[in-house]
Amino acid sequence: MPQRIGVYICECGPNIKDAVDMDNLLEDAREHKDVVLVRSFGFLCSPDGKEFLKKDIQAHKLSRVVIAGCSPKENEQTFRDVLKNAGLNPFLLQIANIREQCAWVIQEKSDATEKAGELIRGAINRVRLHEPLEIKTIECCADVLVVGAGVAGISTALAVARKNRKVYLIEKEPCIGGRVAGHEDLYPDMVCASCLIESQLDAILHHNDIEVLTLTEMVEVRGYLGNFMVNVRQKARFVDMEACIGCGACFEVCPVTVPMPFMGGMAGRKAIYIPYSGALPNVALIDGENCLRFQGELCHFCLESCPFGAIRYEETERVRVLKVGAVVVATGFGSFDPQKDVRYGYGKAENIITSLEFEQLVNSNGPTEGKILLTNGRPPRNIAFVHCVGSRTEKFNDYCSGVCCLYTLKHAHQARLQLPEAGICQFHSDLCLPGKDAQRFYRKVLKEDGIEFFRMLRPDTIEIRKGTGSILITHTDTQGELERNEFDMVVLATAMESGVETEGIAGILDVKLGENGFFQEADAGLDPVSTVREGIFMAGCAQGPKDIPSSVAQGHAAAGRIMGKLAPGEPLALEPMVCEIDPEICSGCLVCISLCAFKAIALEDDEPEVSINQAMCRGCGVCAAACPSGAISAGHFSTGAIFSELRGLMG
Amino acid sequence: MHGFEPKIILFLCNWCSYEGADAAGRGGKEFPSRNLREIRVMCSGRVDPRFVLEAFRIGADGVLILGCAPGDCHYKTGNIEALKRIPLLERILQQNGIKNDRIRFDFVSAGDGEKFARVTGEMVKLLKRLGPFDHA
Amino acid sequence: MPDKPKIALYWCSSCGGCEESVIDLSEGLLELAERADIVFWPVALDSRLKDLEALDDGEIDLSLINGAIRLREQARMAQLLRRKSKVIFAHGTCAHLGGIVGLGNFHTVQEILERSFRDVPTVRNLGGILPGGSVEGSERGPKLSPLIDKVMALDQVIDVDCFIPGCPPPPELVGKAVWSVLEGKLPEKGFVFGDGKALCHTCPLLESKPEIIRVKRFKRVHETDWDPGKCFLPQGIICLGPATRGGCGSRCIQANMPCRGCFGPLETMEDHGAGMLSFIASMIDADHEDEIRRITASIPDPGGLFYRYSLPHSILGGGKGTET
Repeated sequence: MPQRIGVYICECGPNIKDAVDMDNLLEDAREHKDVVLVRSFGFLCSPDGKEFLKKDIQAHKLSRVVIAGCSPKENEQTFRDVLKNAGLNPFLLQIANIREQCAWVIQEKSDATEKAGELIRGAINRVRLHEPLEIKTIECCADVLVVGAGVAGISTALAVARKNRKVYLIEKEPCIGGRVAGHEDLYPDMVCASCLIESQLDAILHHNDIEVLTLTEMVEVRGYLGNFMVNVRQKARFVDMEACIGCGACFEVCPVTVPMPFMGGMAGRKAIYIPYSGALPNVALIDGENCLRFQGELCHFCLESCPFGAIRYEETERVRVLKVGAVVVATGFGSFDPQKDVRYGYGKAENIITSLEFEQLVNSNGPTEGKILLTNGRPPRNIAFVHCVGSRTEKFNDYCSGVCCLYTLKHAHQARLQLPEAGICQFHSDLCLPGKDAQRFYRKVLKEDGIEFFRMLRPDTIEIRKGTGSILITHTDTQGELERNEFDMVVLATAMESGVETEGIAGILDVKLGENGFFQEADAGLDPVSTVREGIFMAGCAQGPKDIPSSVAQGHAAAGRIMGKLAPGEPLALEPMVCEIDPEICSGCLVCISLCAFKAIALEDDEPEVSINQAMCRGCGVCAAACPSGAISAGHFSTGAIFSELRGLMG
Repeated sequence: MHGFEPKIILFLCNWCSYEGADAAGRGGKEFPSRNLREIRVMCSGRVDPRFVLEAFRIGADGVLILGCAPGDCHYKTGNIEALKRIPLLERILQQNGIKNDRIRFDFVSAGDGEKFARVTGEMVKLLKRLGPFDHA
Repeated sequence: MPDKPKIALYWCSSCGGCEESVIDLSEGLLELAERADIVFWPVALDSRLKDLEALDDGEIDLSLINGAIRLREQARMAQLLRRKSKVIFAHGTCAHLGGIVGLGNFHTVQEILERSFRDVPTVRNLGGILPGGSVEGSERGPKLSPLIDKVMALDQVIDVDCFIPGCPPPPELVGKAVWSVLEGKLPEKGFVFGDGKALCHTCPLLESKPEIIRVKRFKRVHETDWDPGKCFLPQGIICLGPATRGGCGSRCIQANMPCRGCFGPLETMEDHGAGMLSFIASMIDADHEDEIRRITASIPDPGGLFYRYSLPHSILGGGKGTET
C-alpha cells in the first residue's frame, strides 16, 4: 500500500533557515517516492507549530511523518505526542537532525544544504519501514522482599510496607536487628543501641503488612521487575513461634553446653537457646548439631519443662515461593580476619582481640556482663587500640572503612569510663572524622579521657607480638624511628569487608559485585542503591562500608526507588521497541542467549527455538546484529530500516 | 588529494555518542560535520557487520562507530560486543581491498563534545590523505 | 508414445563434484534416464554444441548448470541454455553462490594468471607465457576463452529458477530437485532446496552446545585434540553451522569435521560472512581491545574462512584490490 509521507522542515527561526538553501531542500524532498507534501515552518516545537502539524496530519491523512529540524534527543517525544494526538501511531515518525549536526556546525551553505538533503532522504527512506508499535503493559506485583533484617533492611521494610504493598523480611539468623542489636552504645552521643533499635524491631514484628521469616535464605530468583518469583528456604527452629514466650525454662534444664570461641572459651550456651538476652523475636531454637536428641539419644528435658508445649521436634525445613515485584539486598558486612597477617599477632597471643569482640566485652548482655577483662579474669592495666587493620592497604583492602576511627574513639571512651586509671593508647596513621559530629566527639574524648595517640608512618608499619606476660607493640613513627611499647590488651579495628555469603547471594540474584566484593551499583554517582539488575536494589553495608545513619538513609532510598517504580494496582509499561525472533527461521543455535545482558532470551521447554521475553527485553538490538540466521528483528531499528536509511544517505 | 571530501557513515548510540555529537554541535566545536552522515542506533552493539559492508559498497569512504565508554553502556555490554567485531571487520575489509584505517570504533561519552570533535577530525584528515578508493 | 521430458546438464568452472553427485544417484540415475531424455551432458554423453543450438527455444524442460562463471564462454553457454530451457536450476555451490572458484575475486585476473603460470614454485615457465595471449602458432589452434574480470554465480549472468546448494549437493537433494520438476511440482522462483533453518537445528551435536561459549584462542582441527561427541565451538574450533543453511544431513559433522558453510547463508542474510562474523566475535573471551585483537589473530584467514563459497554473492564481492 503506498505511503503518504509528510516532510516538515523546521526553520528554527534563523538557525536553520539562514544556514541552508530552504527552497532547494523543499524542492528536493518533493521528488521522493511517496512524499505527498513538504512544508517548512518557523518553530515546529512551539504550541502553534504543534497545532499546525497535528491539523496537517489529519487534513492530509498522512501515514508517515519526517521532521527535519533539531536533534531527536530534544524533541522526539514532543513530536511523537503530536502524532498521537493527531490519531497517528507515534512511532511512524523519523527525525533528521539538521541543526546540531548540520546548520549549527557547517559554515558553507552549499555543504550544509547537501548534507541536510541527504539526511532528509535517509529519513524518508527509513520512515517508510517504521512499524506502528504498541506500548504493552503487564500487571505487576508491588510487594517487596527485603533480604537481611539489620538496620538497613528494617528501615526499608518500615518505609515501604503498607496496606497494598506487603513486605517479606527474611533473615538468616534466628533473630533480627543485625549488628546494631549487638552493640552497647553508639557514637557520638553514646546512646544505647538496643534502646534505639528496639522500637523498630517491635514495629516490624507487629506490623500487619510485614512478614518476618527468620532462619531463612534465598535459594533461587527468577523473573523481572514487577514479577519476581523467589524460592526461599526456612530452616527448622523446632520451637513453635506462636507458643514460645522466651521464658528460658528449657535452657535451664538442657544438659548440653556448647562452648563459644570467645577469648579462650569465656562464653557458652545451651543446645536450646536464645542467641542473647533481649534478642527478638524472643523465641528459643534448638541447635540440631549439638542437641542430644538429634544425635539419636532419648533426651526430652526441654519438652517436659516447657509450660506452653512449644517444643516441636518433628519440624522440618520449609521451602516457599514468594511472589514479589522488587528485592532489596541488605545483607550487611563481614570483618577482616587479622590472622591473615602475622604482624597483628591475632591468635598467637592472648588478649589480642578485634573491635567486634571488644564490643561484646562491653555489652551488658555479653559474656562478661559488660566488664572489660583479660582471659585471666582481671581488668587490664593498659589497652592499645590499633587502627586500619586490613584497611587502606593494597595487600588486603584498598579502601578506608570510614567508621573505625569513630568507634575506636568510642571504645577508648568506654574503656576510660570503666578503667579510670588504665593507660589507653591509640595507634593510627591518619584519622577519619567525617560528618557533622565527629570532630566534636574526637575533641571531647581527647580532652576528657587522657587518651594517648601514637601516629604511625603508614597503616601497616606496626608489629604486635607476644611478650613475657604482656603484648609488645613495635611501630614506626612519622620520623621513621622505631618505638616499642607494652600492653595487657590490644584491640584491632578490623576493616569492614563484604560478607562471606555475598558472592553466593550475588550468584542467586544474578547481580554483579564490584572490585572490592561489595554489590556493584547501577551507577555509583546517580543510582547508588540499584544493582545492575532492574528491580533488585541494595541498602546498607552490602553496598559498602558505612555508618548507621547512612545505612538507614540507603534503606529509605531503596524504598523510594521501589515506590517510584511499582505502584500497587498500576500496570507496568514495557519497552515498545523490543526485539522479536521469527521461530520459522530460528535454528536454536543459542548465540543470542549469550549476548543478552538482560537474560531476556531463553530456550523454551521442549521447543527447539528460543524466544524473547518482551517484558525483559530492552531493545538494544545486539542480538539482532549477531543472529547468524538473521532471525531476529529489532523493533523500530530493523535491519531493513537501517539499510534503507543508509542508502538514502549515500544516494 | 586536492578537493576530495570524504564521506563517512557515522553510527551513534542513543545514550552516549549521539549526545556527545550533539554536545559538539551545541558547543560550537570545530569538527568536519559536512563529511559525516549520522545513523542513530540504540546501542553500538546494534551495528550489524552488513551495515558496514554495504556502506563501503555504495560509496562511503569511511565508517565510524562510536559507542559508550566501557562500563557506561546503557545495555551493560553492547559496546564491548561492538568492539569485538572490529578486528574481524578490519581483516575482511583488508582482504576486499579496502584499507582497514577506513573503519574505526571509539568511545565517546554523553558530554564529551571535545572527543567527538577530535575523533571525527582525525578520521576525515586520515581519509583525505588516503583519498577515495575504487568503489564497486 | 508421448515425448519424455528433456533434461540437460552442463558444467562451467567446476571441479566435477556436482557431476559426481548426479552419478551418486546410483539406481536413481537409471530411473531418471528411463523417465526423462538427457539431451545434453558433455561430461557423460557425446553431446555437441550444434545439437544444443538445434533445439527449439524452451524445448529443454530442465537444465542443471553447475560451476561458476569464470570464462566468457561459460557465460555464453549459460545464456544459450537459458534460451533453450523452460527451467534452470543452479546446481551446486559454485553455480549458487560462486563457490570456491569465487575466491579468485580477491585478486585481479592478471594476478591469478601470473601466480598460477609463472610464480608458483612448481612451474617452470622461463618465457613467462600466460594463457590467452598471442604465442607462436596460436593463430591456428583453438583460442582459450578469456577470463571475465570477476567470477560470477549463475544468477548474476542469467535468470535462475531454483538453487540446489552444496559442495557438492547431497545426491538425495539433487534427486529431490529433479523429480520436483518431473512430477510437475516446481517450487516458487528463487527457491533454494535444503532446510529453511541453519544447520544447528538438525546437527547431532546440538545438545552438547552450551548457552555461553567463550574462547581464548580459535584453533584449527590439526592444532588440537577435540571431543568428537561434542559441539566444536566451545572447544575453540570454528564451525559455521550456526550461519549456514541446513539440509545436508550434517555429513561433515558426522565425519568429525566442522561445517565449512557450503550450503550458503539463510534467506535473510545478504552476506554469508557477515552472518558468521558477529557470532564468532561474540565468542571472543575478552573485553579489551588488545586482547580482542590477539584472539582474533588466531584466525589466520577470515576472508577465506567467511567467503570460501560465497564471495561473488557477498556484499563487497572481493573488492577491486586497489588499496591493499
